[in-house]
Amino acid sequence: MTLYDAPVGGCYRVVAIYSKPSLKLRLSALGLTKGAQVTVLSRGRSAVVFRVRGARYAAAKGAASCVILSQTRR
Amino acid sequence: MTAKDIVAKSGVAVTAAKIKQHTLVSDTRGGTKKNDSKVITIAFAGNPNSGKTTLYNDYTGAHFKTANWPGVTYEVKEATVHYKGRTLRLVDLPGAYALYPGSPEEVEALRFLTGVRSDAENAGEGSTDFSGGAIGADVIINVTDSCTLERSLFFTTQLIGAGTPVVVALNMADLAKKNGIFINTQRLSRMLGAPAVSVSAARRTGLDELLDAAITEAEKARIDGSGNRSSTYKNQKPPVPQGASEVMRYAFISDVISACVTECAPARGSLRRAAASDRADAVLTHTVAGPIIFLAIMAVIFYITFSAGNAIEEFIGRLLDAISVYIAGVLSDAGAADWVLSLVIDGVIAGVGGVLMFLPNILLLFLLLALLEDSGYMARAAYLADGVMVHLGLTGKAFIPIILGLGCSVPAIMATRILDGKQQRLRTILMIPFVACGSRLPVFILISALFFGRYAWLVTFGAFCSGILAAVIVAFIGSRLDDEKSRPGPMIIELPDYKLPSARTVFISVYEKLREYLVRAGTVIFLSAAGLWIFLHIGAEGYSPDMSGSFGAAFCRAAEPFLAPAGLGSWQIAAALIAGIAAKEAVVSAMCVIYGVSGLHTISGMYALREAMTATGFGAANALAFLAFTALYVPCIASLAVIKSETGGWRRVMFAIFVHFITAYTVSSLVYTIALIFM
Repeated sequence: MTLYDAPVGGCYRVVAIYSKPSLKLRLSALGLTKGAQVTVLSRGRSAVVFRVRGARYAAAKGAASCVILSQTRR
Repeated sequence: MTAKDIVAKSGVAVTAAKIKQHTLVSDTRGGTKKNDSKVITIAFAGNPNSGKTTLYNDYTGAHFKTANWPGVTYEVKEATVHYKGRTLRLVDLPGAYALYPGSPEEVEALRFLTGVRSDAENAGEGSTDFSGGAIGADVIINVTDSCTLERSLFFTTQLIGAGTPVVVALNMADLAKKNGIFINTQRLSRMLGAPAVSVSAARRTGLDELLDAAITEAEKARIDGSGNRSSTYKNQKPPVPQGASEVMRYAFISDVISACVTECAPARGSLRRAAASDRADAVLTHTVAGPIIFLAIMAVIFYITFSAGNAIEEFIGRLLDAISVYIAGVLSDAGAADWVLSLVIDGVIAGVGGVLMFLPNILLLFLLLALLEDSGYMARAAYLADGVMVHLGLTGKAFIPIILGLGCSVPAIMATRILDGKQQRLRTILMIPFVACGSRLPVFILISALFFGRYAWLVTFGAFCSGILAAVIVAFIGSRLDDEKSRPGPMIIELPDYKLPSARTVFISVYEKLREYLVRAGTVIFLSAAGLWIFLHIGAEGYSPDMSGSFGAAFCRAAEPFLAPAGLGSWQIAAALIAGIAAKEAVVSAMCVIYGVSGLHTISGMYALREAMTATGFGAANALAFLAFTALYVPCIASLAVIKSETGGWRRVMFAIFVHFITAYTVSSLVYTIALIFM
């Protein structure tokens, strides 16, 4: 699943990021790197709020749907 | 002994004036060192919203704006201070998440740090690699947020690998402690190979220790010769090799966090700030409740600004009356000519006074906006707006400068530097002057109170909405005309924890705005009122108290036929609108001068102005058209100057003037035609 469609409240691990290099660099600087643990906090009409490495971000669909996640146990 | 110079060098001239003369710490402390003659350059670098500007303000005594959303600082600022016998050049940089260029303000920070020039217009393309290269500081104070240390350390590891000594400031140490986060600074320093110091910029603790550590690093590096990234840890290799991948960096950071950071339960009775913010977000960013709450907040701000401040207004009005009477007395006693008396009383005092009357409303507006900015809500507003903004070819981030535009267009236009993508910036810059700023508020309040009685608030609200609607329509058309490829990338924005607005931050923000407003009343408004008086009192026969025979009236009469379809066909209104190009409040001061009315705080003063206007055939329908025109027409001179400096040319300025004028003319003509049917 992607970060954009991961259910709210779940804890996930980043498996891969499929995007153009500039966006990938930006996401990885914020902590979205392979293996990072992500918690999805809420979802709006076209964006998702999540926590990664202690910080909270909102990402629009275009960015969030590039991040591939896998479910982890809390 | 302690009188210090401060050198202001900022990218934009408007803010350079804000820098204050200040003193820091007495020269007498500490001994003199070998390198005294040399200035030590200390740069504050770190993630957005980590407290760099608060720290910079602490050290320099400057009053730069701080708030709780990422990207408040959009330019490089510097000051020279003296500390323990040394001269320090302190440089505050805009925030950055990494040593790659993102938005224009990040490019600005990296340009200073790396010395690599890059075309700001290419920002967001990710085409320029900034890692490596010469760095413009002797030592970098890397400001980190102790509460989000893991993310903050990513930039730290990049800075440490880049060649300049780094001192890590673990900012917000007080908050971290309160939230049960304990950091072993000694171990952290050893692992990073750079000294780490706990500080709290807000509470002003640890400031001397931090500066001492930075000076020690810079001076040791000088003695050792250049090239040592840290003198204290000079035998240690960089913790992460320079070309390391992001995954490797974060793997190292994870090790650092597990070795140095202990998290316990937060202080008794207090919920951890992050968890409390998440709870608040469940409501405030809710798909349905979120937008409703946002509109409610805006309505409250609007209502308070519009309706409050009557008592103070009364007081200011009386004070102005007393000043007016006193000066008239002094001038008559001195045997001043009639025209001098008229220039001072009917021109300057009536004009400037008309604007000062609205000071309480303006102050409240700025106070409420400052509270909103420091609470952490702005980033949420951006998130909520993203879904709508995407249809305008913008991202939710563009909503932040637009909200700031409710206060003043000038800082709002500069704040568009947080946006990536050139087209997004240009379209947002074009939108901002449509948003009714605080300066247009006096016009709205005055005209609606004169002609619409108890529906005044509704009319004022309508004028605000017409501005926002016009901005949206212009942006929509712009996005359709633009190339698909020019659309900005998807929005990613940090949502900081909510906090109670800091009294100091809000005070600084409101104080600066108040100062600006008063300075403007004393300069632009003063000159425009005096200029307008001269313009309207000099005719073919020299000075004449009858304005209708003046050169000014003749000039404005030429515009009458053109403005008549919009319901603005009188020379008085044309003159007021021309004055409003200097600054929007000048419309009010011009009306006081033109209609020869003062004492707007009294019912009789208001009644006199209304009578004078009605006598020229200006009715409720004209008033509606006038409000629409003032809400939308040509941006003020200060805004035009900033549009030029931010877009780099007159072409955009002319385009903005054209779009605004055409929109204002079309809308006010429509409003007038429709109003005539119903009124």
